[in-house]
Amino acid sequence: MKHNGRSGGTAPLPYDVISAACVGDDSALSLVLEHFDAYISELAMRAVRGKHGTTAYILDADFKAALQEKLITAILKWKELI
Amino acid sequence: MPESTDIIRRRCEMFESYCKTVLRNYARDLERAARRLEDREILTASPLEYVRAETDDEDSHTVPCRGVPCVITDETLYATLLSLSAHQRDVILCGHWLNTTDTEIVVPYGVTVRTIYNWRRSAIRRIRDAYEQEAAVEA
Repeated sequence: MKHNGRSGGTAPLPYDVISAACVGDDSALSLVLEHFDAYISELAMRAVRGKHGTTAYILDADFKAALQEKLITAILKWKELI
Repeated sequence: MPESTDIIRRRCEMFESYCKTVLRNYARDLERAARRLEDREILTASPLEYVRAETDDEDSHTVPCRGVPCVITDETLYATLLSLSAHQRDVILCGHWLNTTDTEIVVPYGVTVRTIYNWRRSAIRRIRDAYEQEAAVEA
C-alpha cells in the first residue's frame, strides 16, 4: 500500500480513542496529537535561506503549537455523520 | 444492534481526513496571514518615517523627542506643544510619552530636579489654559 509519507505507515487511530477524544478526554487527545505529530511537524517546517544561498528547513515551534491547539478545538467539534 | 466494523472503519477514516483537512487549511491561513504581514512591513532606517507610515492617520502628528517620534492625535495639544519652549516640550514628552524619570531628564540640561518640576508645572498650566480657551470658544 502506498502512503503519502506524512502520517503514513502508522496504525490508524482506534475508534475508542476517537470517541474519547471527541468528548475531551486528555489522554485520548494526547494520543491523537501524537498520531498527527509527523503531519503537523511537516506543515510547521519553514525554509530558511542561508548565507551562502543554501536552504535549510527548520521546525517553527510556535506554528506547530498553533496547529496543535487548532486540532484540539476541531476534534471537540467533530460530529459523526454516519 | 452492534455497529458493523465497516461503519466504524469508515468513521475512523473520516476522522483522519477531517483532522488533516483542518490542519492543512489552518496552516494555509497562518501562512497567508504571515505573508500579508510581510508584504505590509515597512523597512526604513528612520523611526520617524516608520511611525508616520504605521499610523497612516492624517489627524495625527509626530513630534520628535530625543530621537524618538512621539505621536500626538489631538490638534490642540499638538499646537500647544509647538508653542512651548524646547525644554518645556522636552520635559513633557520625556515624562508622558517616553516614561523617563526626572533624574534622567536633568542629565542634558545640568539643572536640578526641582527645575524640571517647575518647567513641567508651567508647561502643564499652558496646556490646560489652551484647552480651557478652546472650551470657552466652543461654548
